[in-house]
Amino acid sequence: MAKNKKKGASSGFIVAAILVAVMYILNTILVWNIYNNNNKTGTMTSTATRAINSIKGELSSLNTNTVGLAANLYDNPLEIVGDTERIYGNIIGYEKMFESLDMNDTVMKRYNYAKSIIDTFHEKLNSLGTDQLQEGDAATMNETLKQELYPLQVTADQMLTATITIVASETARLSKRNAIRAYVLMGLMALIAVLSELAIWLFARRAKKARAELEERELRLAEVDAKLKNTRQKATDLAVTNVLTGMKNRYALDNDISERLETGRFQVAVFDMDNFRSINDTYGYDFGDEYLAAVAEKLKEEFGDVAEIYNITGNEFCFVFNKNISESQAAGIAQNIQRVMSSPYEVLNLNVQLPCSGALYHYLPGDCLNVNSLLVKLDTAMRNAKMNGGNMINNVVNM
Amino acid sequence: MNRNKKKGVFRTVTACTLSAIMLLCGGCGGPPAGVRQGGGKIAVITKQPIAFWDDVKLGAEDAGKELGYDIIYSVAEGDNDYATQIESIKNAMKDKVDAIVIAPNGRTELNDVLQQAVDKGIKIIAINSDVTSPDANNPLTISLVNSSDFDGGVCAARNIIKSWKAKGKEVSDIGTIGIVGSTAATSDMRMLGFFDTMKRTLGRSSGVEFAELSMMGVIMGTASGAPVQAFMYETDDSAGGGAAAYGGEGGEGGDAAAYGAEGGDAAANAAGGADANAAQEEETELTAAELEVLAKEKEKADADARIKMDIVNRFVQSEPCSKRKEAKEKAKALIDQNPDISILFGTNTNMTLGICDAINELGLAGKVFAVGFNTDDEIISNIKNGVLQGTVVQNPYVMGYVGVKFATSAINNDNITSHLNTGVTFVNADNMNNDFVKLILNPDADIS
Repeated sequence: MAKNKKKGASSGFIVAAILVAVMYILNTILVWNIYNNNNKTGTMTSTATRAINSIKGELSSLNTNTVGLAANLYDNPLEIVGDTERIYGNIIGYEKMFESLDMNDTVMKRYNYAKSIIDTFHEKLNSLGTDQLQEGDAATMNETLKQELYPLQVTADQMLTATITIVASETARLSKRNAIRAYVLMGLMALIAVLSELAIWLFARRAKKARAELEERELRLAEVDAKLKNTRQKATDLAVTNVLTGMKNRYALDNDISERLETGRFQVAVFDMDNFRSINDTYGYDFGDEYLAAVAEKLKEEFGDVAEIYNITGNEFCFVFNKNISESQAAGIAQNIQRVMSSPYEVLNLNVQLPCSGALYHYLPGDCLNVNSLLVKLDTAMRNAKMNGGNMINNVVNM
Repeated sequence: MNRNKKKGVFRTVTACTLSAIMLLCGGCGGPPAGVRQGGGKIAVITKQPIAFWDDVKLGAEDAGKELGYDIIYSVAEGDNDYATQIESIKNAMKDKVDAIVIAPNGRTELNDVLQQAVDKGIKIIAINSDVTSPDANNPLTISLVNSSDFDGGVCAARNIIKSWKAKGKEVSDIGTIGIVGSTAATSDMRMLGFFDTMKRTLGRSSGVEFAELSMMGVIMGTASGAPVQAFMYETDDSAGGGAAAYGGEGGEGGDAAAYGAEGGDAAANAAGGADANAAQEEETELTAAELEVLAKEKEKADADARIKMDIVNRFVQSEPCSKRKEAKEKAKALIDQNPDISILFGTNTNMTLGICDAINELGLAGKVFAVGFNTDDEIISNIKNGVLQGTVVQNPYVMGYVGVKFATSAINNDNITSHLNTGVTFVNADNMNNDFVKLILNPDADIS
């Protein structure tokens, strides 16, 4: 589970990294686009303005020429008329320059109007050149100039000026649009930044919360674990303890000395009441239990220091003497045990006293294969004592 | 994990900062400085609800749209309705317009209210005709955008002669020239321009030179016909019987009318002759040779005067009318009474159509040349059918457009010329498909 979580987190980071990269690329493209648009608009405007102003200039010089012609200023009028074609050629060039630009309909409408006037101007100029000039009809030419040609030039000039104005306002509009786009982009980026900060904050908060939860769960788990341990301990204790007397039982003995059988050298003894059954029969099991508990209590009190005491069956106690207890000392203690066990006890306001028998075994390494055979030896020796009248201690004789 | 997170935060913060820097670098070009943005209001006030002013309106609105100004358009009921125009100017002031483009219906009637507008800083541009400002050094209007009716008449004459010559005929072959004039105020100037040019062209072909017509009051393209009437019909006592009557029997007021006023050639020459007689009596010391020269000169002058009289006599004019049907009858009468009639001139749409109707009815298409003024679908089809040799058109669209354009320039305190002539164009079968002519006939025509 923990591993899974880690994997999810790292894929989240990959997604975040990709997002950042995409953001970068997108931002770069958009900024580049805006920059490019601004550039393009600038170039377009200056080209348009140059083209239109050139057309205006050429038109004006055409007009000057014709006015000069009308006023008879030139020695060779036909040459001037020829020059008209050169100037008109220039105009066509500038017209092409302007038309190559990608202008909108409004600009083109005004420009086309101007162009149509220029074309008419040119036609009229041509007809003037061929008709009146050759006929030398200066008066008519003058009138035509004043009434038809000159108005065409000035109106064309007005339309061209208007075209420039429209181009300029179109430029302003485009620049404004670009500026708006830049602001929108900036706003968008700022929004993304704020959102990512927010996301990070949320993510961090969630992680913190998750960790807190985890810690709490671990704590609870530890508690449960402790409880479980306790219960298990209790269960174990119960398994190796005699419930009635609180002493270790036969299994405990098994556990405790099994490993010592091979190499250990120790003193071990068993005791039980003689004819304890008569108590149970006479006073009931409850009484018998109380009596045993009292005896056990007394034995723990008297001999807990010198031996480990096990309550291996009903009224049978096994004493595994401490290592420092010698054979002779063990014999003495066994005497004391017999004395203590067979002394009178007050149980449920009754004084009861039973004799007891025991067996003492000076165990040498390798004597027994297992605890069971050890106990069989001790029990056999004790049974012999009982069969011989009881109230005595028998030694297990090594064979 | 914690370290990774820190790294992520760092990355994000870096990314955002870099983006912001890039944006600041790229986006800060800003709009180029110095580009003027419109956004003001311009009132356009015109004369009367006829097609001509609709085109003016179209031009004004296009200019407003293209140059970024709102156009408030209003039109008077007729070309003498200055009450409505005064109201419109007052409304414009209420609307806080930046400029007024006006085709004034009166020469002086609007002056007071225009003065109020000028005092409020509103720029005034006149189109079609101007007002007479009380103080010529401080005119009410900044500029006048118009095309001259006189020039229109001249253009009609010049071009009908061209058509005539194009048919392989001589100018000297031209017989009677009929003029069907309308009652409209524009009519007289158009007739005067036509008459003057026609007369001088005919004179030149006969070897006589008419004096230049004084342009006093003519150059302004006045809408008032009063002085022109005088030009054409004034009776000059000093000229006496020497002055030729040019109006035929059908011509109204043609009896004994001097055709030229200020030094009109025939009258002047006649007077000159009288002077010569007086000199002969008084200056007895003059030699015979000198006398002979004088006599020759007199003879020549008399001959020239006769030629001029003859030329002037070729013009016949019908009584002014306004309806197409009336114009047709007048034209028919002119044709009936003058079997040698060569050219008919109509001074506006109805007169032109009336002439065409008459020619069509009498089956004289191509025999009698006709030249008109203005345009509509029927006039165009008459040109196509060869009934009408051509028509003179002004360019109301350009008038409206340039009027508003000048207004925007005036608002921005840019220099503008005090007078712009939008010109006249002769439309005939040859140039009808010319882009510019198409635009004049229909400002919305698609020529791209």
